[in-house]
Amino acid sequence: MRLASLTLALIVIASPVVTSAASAEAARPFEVSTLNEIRQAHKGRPLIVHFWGLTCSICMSELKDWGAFTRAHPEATIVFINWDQRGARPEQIGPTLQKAGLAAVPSFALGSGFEEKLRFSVSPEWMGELPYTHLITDDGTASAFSGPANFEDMSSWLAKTGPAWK
Amino acid sequence: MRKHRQAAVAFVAAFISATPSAFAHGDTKHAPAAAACNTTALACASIATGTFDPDGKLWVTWNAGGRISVASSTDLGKTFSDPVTLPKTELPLDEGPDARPKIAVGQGGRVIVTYASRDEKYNGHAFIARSSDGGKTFSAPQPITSASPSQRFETAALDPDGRAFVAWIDKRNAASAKKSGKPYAGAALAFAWDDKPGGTLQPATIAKDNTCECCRIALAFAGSGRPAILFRNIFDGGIRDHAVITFEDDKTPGSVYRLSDDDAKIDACPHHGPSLAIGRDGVYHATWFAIGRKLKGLYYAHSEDGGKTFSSPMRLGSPNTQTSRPYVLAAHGLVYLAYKSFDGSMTTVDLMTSRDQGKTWSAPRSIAMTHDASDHPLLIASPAGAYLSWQTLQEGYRVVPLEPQS
Repeated sequence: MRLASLTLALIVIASPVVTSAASAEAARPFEVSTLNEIRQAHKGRPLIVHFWGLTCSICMSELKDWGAFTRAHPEATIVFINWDQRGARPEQIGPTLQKAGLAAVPSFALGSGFEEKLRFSVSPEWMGELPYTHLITDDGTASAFSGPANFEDMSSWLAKTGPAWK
Repeated sequence: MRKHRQAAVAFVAAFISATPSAFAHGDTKHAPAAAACNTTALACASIATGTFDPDGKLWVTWNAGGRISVASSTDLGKTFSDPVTLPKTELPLDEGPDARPKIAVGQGGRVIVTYASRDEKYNGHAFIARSSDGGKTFSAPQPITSASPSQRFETAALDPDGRAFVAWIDKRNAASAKKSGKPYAGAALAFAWDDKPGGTLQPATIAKDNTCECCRIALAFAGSGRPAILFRNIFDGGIRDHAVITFEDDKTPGSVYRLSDDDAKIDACPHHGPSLAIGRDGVYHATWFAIGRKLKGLYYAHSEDGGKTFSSPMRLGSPNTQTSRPYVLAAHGLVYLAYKSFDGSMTTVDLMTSRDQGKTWSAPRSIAMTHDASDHPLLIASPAGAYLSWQTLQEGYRVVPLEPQS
């Protein structure tokens, strides 16, 4: 409890991205500048940006594991970006994340924006496949993988990525 | 609480030099131009599918305002007939990235339209609606099958004899495997024929178990009663590469032939299905999005032996232009290939043509562009010509004649 409130306090000072941590709220719109802004706000710390979709069954089946990983790694900032295109049900994003134990992660959504442009801002090489994850080290080096996460690999990536913020 | 949070945002933003606009948004909703557009009009559609009837009349079906509508045009889309809007589905329409209503128009004013709705668990429920009076009225939409928990990416076409064929991705076998605690990868490729031209759909048959559950399928005819289906299969070892099945006769799906060794060992949903065309000469033309360890990006290949073996994959588009949504058409002795490219601000549709059954191709040329969201580009043929059919947020629906390049 004490740790949680300390963490929250630190987070609030460190980053506005995490201000929606208190409860599962509506995902904020993902704009062309959003990823850069998240990276700027988290400079010097490991950052994991996970793109997922309610329409992606593989994403849904690993969501709870993401919840567990997030709890096990308070040193990492993990951001969830919902990439459901037309037909997404944005009202389900918050409750779905909450159910998976991810109520505290900052959450953004593509919504009905200009998908190509928004995707280009993430990576010109990303073809929109889900799940898709960006790993950004504390020195700003970014890598990405498609498909389900290997949480052991991500834990060792976190352990390696410079002096972890604690 | 909310006020408190906003105050915190303002407080923190003051300390962050790279003031993030995304964070200053608070609860304001993203409001694209189309957000206010919620009628059933074609102008409000994000997805529209065009086709020509045997007389050269253009038909379009689209999804807008939560409904499927159909209209026709005798002047290549400048003006349309009064649209017919199909009954509202109980569940919301499937508007996923690879879902779209399909339309086929045959002789004697027969029109079929298929589309899918989906439930909270994203199971699809697909329907077929028919008209026998030139699209003036449609029969009550019928489910394409029963006893199936999910049908998605339904694709309908009329064979050369005018008999309707519907294929889709079906989850009945996946569901029964799950019930009995058995593993089952992906979903299944299912199909149903009309019992006769203008008849009703027969019960479904599973053509192939263990296909990828999240990509649309492509359909062409090798002859009457002989559909050819291109789909993302799940090969041994969970490799999700594309395959072609050509029917031996209307009841017998033929062998599964691999289109290309992409080596797609990835449990991800690309939502990016293939396209297939068969010329009058019997040559198969396939284009697809590869996400494998060996091949990545858009590719084209052709087959001169009825879809058993294919030419070496030809890469489409240039790197870093985010090429996507390839489509192929074989018409009037030519082969056309189109795909979308995005350069960071503008989406273009690029066209390539082949005059020798896909052996050699013209350089790509941009034939249409837009600066906002757009549907996949589709290529359609009339009895006399070939066209791009494309719905874009800013410009609406357009039909662009394809001029072959040398």
